[in-house]
Amino acid sequence: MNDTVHDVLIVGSGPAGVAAAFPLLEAGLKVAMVDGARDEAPAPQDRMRASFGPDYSALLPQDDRSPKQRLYRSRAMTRAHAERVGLAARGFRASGAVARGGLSTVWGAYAAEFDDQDLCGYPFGAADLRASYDAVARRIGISGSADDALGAFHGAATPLQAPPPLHPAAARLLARAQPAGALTLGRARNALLTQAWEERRACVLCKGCLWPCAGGSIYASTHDLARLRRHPGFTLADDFYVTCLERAGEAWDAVTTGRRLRARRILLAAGALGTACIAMQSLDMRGQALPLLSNPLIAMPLWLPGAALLPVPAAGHTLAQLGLRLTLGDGGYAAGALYSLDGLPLDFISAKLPLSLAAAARVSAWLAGSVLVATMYFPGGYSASTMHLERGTLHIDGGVREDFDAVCETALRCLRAELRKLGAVPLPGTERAPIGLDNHYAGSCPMGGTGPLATDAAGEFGAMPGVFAVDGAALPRLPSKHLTLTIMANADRIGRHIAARGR
Amino acid sequence: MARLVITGASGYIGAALCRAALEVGDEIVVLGGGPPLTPSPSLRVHPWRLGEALPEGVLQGADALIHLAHAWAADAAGPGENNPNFSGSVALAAQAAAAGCPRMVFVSTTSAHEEALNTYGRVKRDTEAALLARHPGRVLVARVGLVYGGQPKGLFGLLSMLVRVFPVLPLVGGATQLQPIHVREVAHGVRKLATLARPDRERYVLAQPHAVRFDDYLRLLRRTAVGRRLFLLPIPVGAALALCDLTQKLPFLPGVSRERVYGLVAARPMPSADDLAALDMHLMELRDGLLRAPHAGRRRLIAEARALLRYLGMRPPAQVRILARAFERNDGGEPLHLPALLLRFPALLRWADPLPRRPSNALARRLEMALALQAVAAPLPRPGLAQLAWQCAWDGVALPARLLAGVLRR
Repeated sequence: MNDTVHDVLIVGSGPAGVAAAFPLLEAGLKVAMVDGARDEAPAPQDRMRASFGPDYSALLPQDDRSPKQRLYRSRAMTRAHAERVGLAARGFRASGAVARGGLSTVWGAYAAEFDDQDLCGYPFGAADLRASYDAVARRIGISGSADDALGAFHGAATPLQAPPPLHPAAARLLARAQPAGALTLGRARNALLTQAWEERRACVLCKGCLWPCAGGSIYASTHDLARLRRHPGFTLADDFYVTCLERAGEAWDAVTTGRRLRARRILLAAGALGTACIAMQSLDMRGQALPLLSNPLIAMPLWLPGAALLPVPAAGHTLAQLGLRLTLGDGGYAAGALYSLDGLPLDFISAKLPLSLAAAARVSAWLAGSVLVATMYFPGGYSASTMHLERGTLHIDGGVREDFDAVCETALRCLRAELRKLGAVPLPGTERAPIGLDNHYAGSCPMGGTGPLATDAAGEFGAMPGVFAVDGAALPRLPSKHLTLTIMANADRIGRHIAARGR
Repeated sequence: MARLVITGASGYIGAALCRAALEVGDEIVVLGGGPPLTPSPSLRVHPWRLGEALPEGVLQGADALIHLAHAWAADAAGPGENNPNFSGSVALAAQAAAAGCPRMVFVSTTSAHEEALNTYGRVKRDTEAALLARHPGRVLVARVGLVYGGQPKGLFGLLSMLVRVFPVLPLVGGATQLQPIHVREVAHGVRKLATLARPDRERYVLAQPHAVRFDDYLRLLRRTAVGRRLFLLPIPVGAALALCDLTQKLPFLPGVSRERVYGLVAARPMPSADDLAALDMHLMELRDGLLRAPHAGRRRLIAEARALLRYLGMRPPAQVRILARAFERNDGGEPLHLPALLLRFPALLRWADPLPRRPSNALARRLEMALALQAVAAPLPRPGLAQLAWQCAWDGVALPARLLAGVLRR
């Protein structure tokens, strides 16, 4: 592999990397992918070990904000990523993964499209992403409804599988939802199969979404990677953590300790932090601050008294049940999802109740069937975080715009009032998550933007012709919607663009 | 309260040191891997590796730098100036001096003597000499004896595991005189060195003044761990080295490196009574220390784990051993020594349930660990309204006592 000049080299095996690879291979290009990790042993199916790790170290409480964050795998990935990248974050909870499949192995699987309003400030419109959205959505498998009040908001044209059954509490809330008003509710869009597709099985509604999905019903980019590896034009190099890129005539070398690979074009898909880090190292940008967009996030528990005595369903899933859209005072919107507690470990709720733990455990078990947790993301424009590279360490300074406190308070008041109208009781315990906890990172290598790492409409760096940013780093603006589907569609679009340019 | 910068905090001594320092309210900055502790506002972790430049400003305002980090793999380079542990430590000391850090404590070993056979002992010996020569008055060396107790890690972890699993063990260097010290005492001593106002010497030996024979140590270890006798078969050094090589190749066996054997056969007792007196330290006897070690307290830990799970409503309590093991491996390993009444009637824990629940409170932490386990292993079914009312009523009764206990704790 060392003497070869590859047509295209993709850095990272996460959703962006695999999405970019498909159109390139279909166009007959030779694609090499490098990954900082290697294949992992199959995840343990034993929930205890999957939750707490082989040494049960994740039983030790940390400052976890959700059951997913508490998982041993999430903690280990975050720690390993911080150590590998060399992260020093202040006021920012940075996540990332130097692991096969990137963060997609622990993601929430919410999959919504960006519309023209969301893409305002992008050097292209929703029509330019249409074919890519379709291709990606068909491949990853998205279930949901196009007919409800959020159908158009999530993407009316997305190819969809039938939605899974709704939890009774969520169904009750949705039934009362009114189309007019600041709050709009609809079925969630999840990358969850309800019909089998290739090797992946349809969801069996085991309520075990928090743990590794045995049937592969929840999409992870490792599924796509398995398909890519069967393609003769695709090669994968393990343990190849790219530290920087070096110009080699018309081509580029991706460099790691003791090894390098050469390619005519390099696609950076190492996660928004990893991609920016590689680009900064390659351009020797020490100390220069770059913007880092993320979606400020809040979580609010709400109780549906009417659902308290409904029978608890034996089957279900624990991904998002409903999607929500809340109109903000400035004309923009916040977007989010509603999750049922049924099926999730309840310790993170019990520990917050002002009761003894014996009583709290019982109260939360009683409430679980009738409590929903709303998560709501605010536009990335409210974040004011920056990052810079200093002596090989990526420093992140987290922050929000000065007016965010007022915007957040107003939005919360509005959300509470709207939910009360639907018969829900907002519970105490609403939390503003630490900046960065959303994992929606973008804006460091903005397409059509300005700055030292600006990229053009195809994600190609102005300062590094032949090098492309294809992950979240390339998104110039961050609307409130979940961004993974758009990152994948954009990577697919860039892949198509490069394929059209040929070798 | 001191501001300490610590390298090697994820190791056996490092984790115990961090725990001890946090308990007395120190502010800690860790360089490299963090200790397996609950995050605390007083504990910050900076990515770093031995040999790398220090993150900028990390030593600013520090009272001392405590250097514990040792890259074992790097010892393959052999002793000498090219050993990365030697060069990394020398570079670290130079950076500390340049940053104006008033004190550096270099944690060494009682194997660091002139006749040391193992690379570890030689590298530590050479590093000690280099640091003391280059930074006189600024560097203090802690020569630590055979560390035991706490979480079963390092050599103690290996020996504990061997004596627990095998009733018969091959033995080399049975007559070797070793000077044990409990890991908590090491942590206490190293912290004292970091903050000692007027040190009157450069090297302090932190080890029991009365040496014990290695074979007696192993027998006592098994006796306190599983209450049984240990049979030892003395073998020549050559055979021991061959056995070490074999353990590296066979699967399922803990790999024992030749370094361990070299370290054992060349161990020499060092006088420590004066040094301990200068630090006003009195070490506990090995037997007492081992009885405080987690394996000895395992039965107690299991009883406590069972009580916590029963208190949370798990009937019958399952996964008790897993929870006890998690206490042992990840939360210091010491039993909480809950009163027998609470173990017998776990419902009474409601009165002891800490309010507010702070991660620094050991009972609160372990209750949350039990709660997390219960939430995954055996989620409670939806209780009836009567049961719920009963629970909340008892909570009301227990509330004044909990509030009072919270105020008294503060």
